[in-house]
Amino acid sequence: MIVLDTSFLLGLVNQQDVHHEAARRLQSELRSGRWGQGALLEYVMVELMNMMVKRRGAEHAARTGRYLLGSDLHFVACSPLFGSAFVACCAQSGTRAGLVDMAIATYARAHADGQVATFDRELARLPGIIAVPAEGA
Amino acid sequence: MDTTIRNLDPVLYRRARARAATEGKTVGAVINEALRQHLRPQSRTDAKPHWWDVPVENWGPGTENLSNEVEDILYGEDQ
Repeated sequence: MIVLDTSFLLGLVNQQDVHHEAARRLQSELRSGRWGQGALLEYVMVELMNMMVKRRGAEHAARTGRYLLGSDLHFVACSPLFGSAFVACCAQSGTRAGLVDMAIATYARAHADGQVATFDRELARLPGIIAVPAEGA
Repeated sequence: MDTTIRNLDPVLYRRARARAATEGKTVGAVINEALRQHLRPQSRTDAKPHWWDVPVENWGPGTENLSNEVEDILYGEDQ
């Protein structure tokens, strides 16, 4: 399994994005089954929808959001994650990860061998996290 | 049976080993389960589209760095 971060999904859906080519390369590896099933946290869906509504409008956001929710992604409701993500957020030292990043990291460590598809360097610095694609890939 | 498999993806092998350790199984048992699952006849009735085929669009000029700026845009400038 691999956990998807907002930065990765934005890089994937926008052809103009500086990370679009890297996201497309990872897309090929995903097709091959190398990284297993994709997991989408409720918090990440909230961030993605907010970004799309702000930058592309509600109609585009609805189209993309409905596609993802109807796809073979493993959707993760976040209420059960909140407690451990909050504790990790409060206890962090040397990093400045927000609650959403901490929830992603908590879920990735428990269910995805730490694998997260992300372009977020702060998230990639969290202990036990393997950022995919690797920097410079 | 015992056999040798060439060109095994090291990442997949590492994940199979980790899964085996977590579940108290042998690596062989995990690989057998994965093969069994993969070779199972496909049901077309419950097939969902793959998430990675999500529609891709050109968001236009000024959107090149959104993947890097998502935290700033949603939560304000980093202090």
